[in-house]
Amino acid sequence: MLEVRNGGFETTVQDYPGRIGMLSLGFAPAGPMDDYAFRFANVLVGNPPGAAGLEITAGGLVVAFHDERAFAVCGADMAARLNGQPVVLWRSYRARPGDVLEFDYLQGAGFRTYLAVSGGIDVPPVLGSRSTYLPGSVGGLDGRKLQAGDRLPLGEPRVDLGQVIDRRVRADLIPGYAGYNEVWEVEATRGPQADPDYMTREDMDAFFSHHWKLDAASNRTGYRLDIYKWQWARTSGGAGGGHPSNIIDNGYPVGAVNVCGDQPIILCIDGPTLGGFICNAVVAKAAMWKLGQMVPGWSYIHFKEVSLEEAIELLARQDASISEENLERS
Amino acid sequence: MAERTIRSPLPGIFYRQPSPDAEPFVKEGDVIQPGTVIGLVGVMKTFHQITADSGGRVVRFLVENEEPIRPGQEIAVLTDAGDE
Amino acid sequence: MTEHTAAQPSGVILATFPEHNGRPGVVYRNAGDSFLLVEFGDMVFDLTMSFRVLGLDDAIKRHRPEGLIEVIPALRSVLINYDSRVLPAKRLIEFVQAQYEELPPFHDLVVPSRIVELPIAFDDKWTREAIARYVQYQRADAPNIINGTNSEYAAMYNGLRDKEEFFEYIMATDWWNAALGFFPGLPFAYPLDPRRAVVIPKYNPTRHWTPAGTIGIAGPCLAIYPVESAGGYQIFAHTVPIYDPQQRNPAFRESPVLLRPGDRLRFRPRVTDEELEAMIQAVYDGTYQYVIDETATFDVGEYLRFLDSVREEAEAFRRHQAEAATRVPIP
Repeated sequence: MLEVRNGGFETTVQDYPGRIGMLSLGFAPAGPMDDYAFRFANVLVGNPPGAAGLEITAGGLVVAFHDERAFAVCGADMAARLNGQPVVLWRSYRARPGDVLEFDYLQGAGFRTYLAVSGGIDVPPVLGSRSTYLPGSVGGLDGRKLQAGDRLPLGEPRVDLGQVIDRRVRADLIPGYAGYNEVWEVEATRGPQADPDYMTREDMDAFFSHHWKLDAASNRTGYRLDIYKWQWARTSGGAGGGHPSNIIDNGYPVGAVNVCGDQPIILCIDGPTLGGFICNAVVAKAAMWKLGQMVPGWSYIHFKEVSLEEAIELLARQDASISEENLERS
Repeated sequence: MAERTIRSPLPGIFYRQPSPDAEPFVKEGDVIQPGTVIGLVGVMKTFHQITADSGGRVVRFLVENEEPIRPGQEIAVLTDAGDE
Repeated sequence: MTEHTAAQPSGVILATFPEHNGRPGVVYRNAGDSFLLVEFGDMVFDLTMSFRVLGLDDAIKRHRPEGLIEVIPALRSVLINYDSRVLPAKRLIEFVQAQYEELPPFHDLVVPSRIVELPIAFDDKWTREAIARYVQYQRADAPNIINGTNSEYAAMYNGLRDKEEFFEYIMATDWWNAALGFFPGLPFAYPLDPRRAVVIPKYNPTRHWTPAGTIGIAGPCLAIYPVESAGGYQIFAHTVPIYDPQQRNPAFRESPVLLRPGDRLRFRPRVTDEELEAMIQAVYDGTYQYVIDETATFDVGEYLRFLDSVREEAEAFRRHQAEAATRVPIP
């Protein structure tokens, strides 16, 4: 059992790939915003890469261990300390009963960090997943973020603790994060409603060259980017509505860039599943993790166009890299 | 004169008042108690209160209303209430 | 900046099949490395397209190839979530197109379609509260709010005698749930009787708060808000929960979502606020019995004959409505 002493700003239970196959009922998949760090944290402690762990957003979490467990923290630096001793990111440790793990506020680039514990967080799966989906109040612990006094049950570890502590992720596989006022390069394909029938070629060229500022009012449902004066390839949305960004409602791909009037919004993993605005691009699945480490109000995004084949190749390479073979003894 | 600062634990947009038309939470010169709200940080569509962890007189704000702030950034300077 | 040739690097349109023997054309659009968007016919409002879409949805599910994760139907499209490493886009397109071409002739389609009866309270206290908050905090002079309701405006916009006649229209037609989405379990429902097909423009600006269980309409589409949320539809009624993440009633035993694409919604009986409040309580006690005909089917041929038989009346209402709308301000 893991005892929550302070829930921090927004800490939730997540698993990977989340609640998939439920979009047609209106459920976004949820899951970790940075699935790369999340999966590596699990691999470090000997869990399956998708086992349930904690997503810690912007810091402040304090937990106490009641069992002897392996744990790992991957993602943004929040000056984590175990009983006051610094915890190095991307590395596995041993925790003993009574040990307290504390996260301070963000220390530099990045926005979310992930805590994996051997055995995983054993909250009951809801609709096939333990992920917390806040807009629908399902999954995780009672469908909500964690708070002081919560007690999280843990599963049975698969392997001996001794085999999985004191390991670290190979240095070249630890990603660097763009800092404040810096630009993240995010791979994306053109979306279903791009040029030439919805937007002009110039609109799409601008989309793939502009440095888009991430608005502070961005969260797991959507990442709001700056207003842009699009040319549009049509003068109205026809039967979909008056504005050329309107269409007759259709399903939205997870990670789509949804253009609502003049404003592009990236639909994140808690985002709406269906609606009546165009999607001019879709973030490559292998690049979705980057969204998790951007800082609302500070980060910039440059969308780098990739082909469907390149996006698939990126994903294959990413999945292959998240493996026991890429760990070292520390 | 013992000056100390209040920091924001969060990145986001700093607001000195609860809503655009309202009075600021506190003004320069006000004497405040521990736990007094001195402003809000808006991020991810939620608003987080910034509170003073000790009492004192507000000397000055280091951040303008609606200015973006970084985590750990100093927001305001306090001094002991008796100091001038 | 990237250099583009005439053919885009990723190619938005992956395949196109023209209209053939009365079967609407199909366009396959790239939607990233995990999704494919399939569109039918033209970008026009045609409810009958939904029957084809749901027929195809059903066929795809019955012949699901490995790597196909989910089909997300909408009014004139399906979005397919798939694992592109197991099932390449080209093979998925061939599979979907084959299923589409093997669909029985449109007139012979009989699709599963439950009938779900929902009690309804019009101009109820919850709706009035949401509108009162909007007036107080967002916009005091909205033309769509008359006497603290949107229903008088809805009646005017459609050239109906008064709000009572508007309520009669809502109850007089079945509503075809073409899709679920946006929020968990939210139906996008369209009137099956074109003689009762009211239309209403959206809020401007959108509401910050709408209580769960609120019924609203925008354009021709009716929605029920499953969770407390912002919203842009004109709101005029309340019903029992259609979403319960705690699954407290037998109707939610298998899924916290009550409705499915292809359901027909029927609003009855009309109840008072107090009666509805007791029903909502009974839902959470587990004692309320939702009235759902689980085995009902929908015969497209029969429906098309019905549409033919009411064509003149429907056209007359549409003209009357369009004429009335010109005299009513837009929010």
